[in-house]
Amino acid sequence: MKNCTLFVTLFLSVVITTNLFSQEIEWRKLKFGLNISYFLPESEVKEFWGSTLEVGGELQYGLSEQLFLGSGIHFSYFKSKKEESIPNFYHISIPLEIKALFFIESKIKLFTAGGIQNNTYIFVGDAAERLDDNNIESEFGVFITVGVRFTLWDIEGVEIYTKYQTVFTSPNSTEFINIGTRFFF
Amino acid sequence: MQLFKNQIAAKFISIIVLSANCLLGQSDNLPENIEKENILRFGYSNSNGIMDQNYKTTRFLAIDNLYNLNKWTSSKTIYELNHLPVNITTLNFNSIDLLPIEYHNNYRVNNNESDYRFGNDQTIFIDTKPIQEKFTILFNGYLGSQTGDPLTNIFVDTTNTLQNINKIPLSGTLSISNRNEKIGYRVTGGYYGSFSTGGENDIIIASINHYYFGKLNKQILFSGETFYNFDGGEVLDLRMQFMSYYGWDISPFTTSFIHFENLFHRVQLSLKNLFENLSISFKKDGALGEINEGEGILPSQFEQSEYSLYGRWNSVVNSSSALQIKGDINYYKWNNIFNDDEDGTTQNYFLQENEFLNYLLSGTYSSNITNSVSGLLNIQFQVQNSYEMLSARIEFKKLLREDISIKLALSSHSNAPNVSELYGSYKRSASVSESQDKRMFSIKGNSQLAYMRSNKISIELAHHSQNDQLQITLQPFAESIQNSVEQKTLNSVRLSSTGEILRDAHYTNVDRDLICGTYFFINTRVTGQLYFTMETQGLLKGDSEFLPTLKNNLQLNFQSLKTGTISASWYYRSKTHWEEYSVQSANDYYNNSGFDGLLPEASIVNLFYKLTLKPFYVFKSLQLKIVFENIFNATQKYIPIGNSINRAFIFEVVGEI
Repeated sequence: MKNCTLFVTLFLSVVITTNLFSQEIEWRKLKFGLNISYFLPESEVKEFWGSTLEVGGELQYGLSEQLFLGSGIHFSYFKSKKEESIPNFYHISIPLEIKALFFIESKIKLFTAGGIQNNTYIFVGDAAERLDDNNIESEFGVFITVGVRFTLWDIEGVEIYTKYQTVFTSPNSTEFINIGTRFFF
Repeated sequence: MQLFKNQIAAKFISIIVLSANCLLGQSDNLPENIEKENILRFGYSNSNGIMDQNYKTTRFLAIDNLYNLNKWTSSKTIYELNHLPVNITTLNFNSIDLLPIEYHNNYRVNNNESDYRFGNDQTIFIDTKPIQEKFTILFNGYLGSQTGDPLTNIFVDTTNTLQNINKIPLSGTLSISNRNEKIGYRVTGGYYGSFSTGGENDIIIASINHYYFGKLNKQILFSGETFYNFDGGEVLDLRMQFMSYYGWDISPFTTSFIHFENLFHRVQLSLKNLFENLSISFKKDGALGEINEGEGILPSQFEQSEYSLYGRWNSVVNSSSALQIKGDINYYKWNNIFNDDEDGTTQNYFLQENEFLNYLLSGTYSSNITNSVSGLLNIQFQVQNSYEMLSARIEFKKLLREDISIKLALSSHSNAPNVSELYGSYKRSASVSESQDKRMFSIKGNSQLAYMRSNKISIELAHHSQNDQLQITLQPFAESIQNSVEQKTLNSVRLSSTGEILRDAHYTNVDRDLICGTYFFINTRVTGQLYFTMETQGLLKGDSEFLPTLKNNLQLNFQSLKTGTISASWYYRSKTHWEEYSVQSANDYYNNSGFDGLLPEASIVNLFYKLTLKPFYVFKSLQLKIVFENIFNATQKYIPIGNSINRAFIFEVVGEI
């Protein structure tokens, strides 16, 4: 599924690029950002892996004053609570989201976003040996984010948010929660 | 709770797609007519609509069974590839996926009866699109995944062995073409990959061959074509096409998982418009098939070859009448390559090696009897696989109004068993339980089969408004099938170790009850850019319990110049019963409960988004497609022993430079 991650990255790039270039090019609407969040596994996953930090880059394109299209790439590392039998894993996520701002006349804006996200898991360590060559797997999930957005110093958009994601795993879906902040320049 | 989560998921996906649809886009797209998306390989929607019996055990290799009511082990659909039929099937796979065509850009599939040619109800026509008069590069690429990977669940639940969920790795094709008035060419190459088996049958597949377990299914496509226009109007046309297959699947002949390979090729040389619309074609088709070794499976390798000469003559008798004549001569040869007599390490797929000389003569006369009444008569005599057969079709069509017509069609069509049904053989040994020794299971052809005949009557009432705002078709029909060629189960068991169902079976003839049904189609513009399409088929199926009583497909399409097309579709198929896969509890060594052979009803919701950009930088056109298939993750199976095909996300890019 390395190819899947690659292709989704390319595809999302194409979607955003297409949107940009199919209309009048307005570079000022394209914003780059950084993300840092506290990443909490939910459901049964949290019994075996602890919480961790997630960091990444963000890309955001303003479709209007209220609506934004966003993507990015995020990295995190989950450490197992039982390393002898449960492997650690790297988590790489690529979301595609549509975001709506509310109370745009106010200095502090509320926002909500929803989207689809590709999650890649790279299992590592001795406990991952039972997977042989299948230690890299990907799965899609959907998420919803709510938060507040404001301007701080010269940083145009600072967001504090919480995000809930369900990943379509089998036999049960797995859930994650992020609580974090994003900075758009 | 799971349903609630699925609903939430679906709503989010809908919101995203709808929002993106409203926001993305450009201003210079050309308007499009409503179209049925042709993503055969994805199974999202079939260009032929729900009239197909698309049997498949995995996401790919659909067995197309068009209009007729055959079982999946004996599909009688005929493909006409560039006007010449494909008579070779490997392991009875009658699938468009095994044909050497690149249908995203260069081919079109058509089974519209209004395009009636020399075919019949069971024919799918596949033609290359004309080469453009400029240097053109066409490409497409797609990738996707069925959801349901276990990921962390492998470790959370140690009993979880799911690993091999359907995935669609990066696949695509590229073609280059150019032409002028005299000469032209097109070269196409492609690669398709898939993890097609799904997790449901991982244990079965791993038990058959651990080496091939988890290996990617692969297909490689190559084709080249060129033509030369002579000054007198004659056209010389040469095509060479190749398609390979390597992977797991349940073949209609073996009816159990095998890892197999197939190399299909066609060389076709045509001389068109020799005089008065007479065309002559030569073709050579060949297929090299191989069943790879597995636990209890000896490998086999076999080939089929066909050399054919075709004549086609279209004659305009007068301004209101036309006559079409075709004649075919065909040499067909099949043989084993491995020989099980050598050392007992291989098995023969064909019980007999032989050859056939086949002939076909067909005439079609069509005429406008009056201003509002037209008729068509087709008679065909055929010697195929040593069977002498006569087929006929007659149609009358009357225009009741400018936009309303009624058509009566009567047909009697014969179909010979193919070489797999006559001489095929597959053996597999397995232990039904830990306490018992291995025993042999076999599927065998039957050289004593009679040819099949289907008699059909249909009345079609059609309305097609001149402004394309409304199309309605209502077609009641009745069909009887004599000497239907089917696999008859002699014995079936479920293995204790893996739960796999193995059968002893052979091909035989069966007379089936009369089947009556009604087909209804409506396509209309609801408002503005919103279109509604519905296809429904209801059957009084008699003893053909494997057919669904009701199939229904609803589709809403929103088309916009700026934002592209967004479609939502709902497909419903009522439950069916496949007696041949039922297992008595006494033969169920897996859990002693037996297997009823029931295929549960399917209710599937799909979403589709397409954005077309014309032009886009160096691209003359660029299409982005996103498919959300089975968004509620409902149970979706096409035959009782196959895999479930769950929620999937598929991304595709199609472009022209």
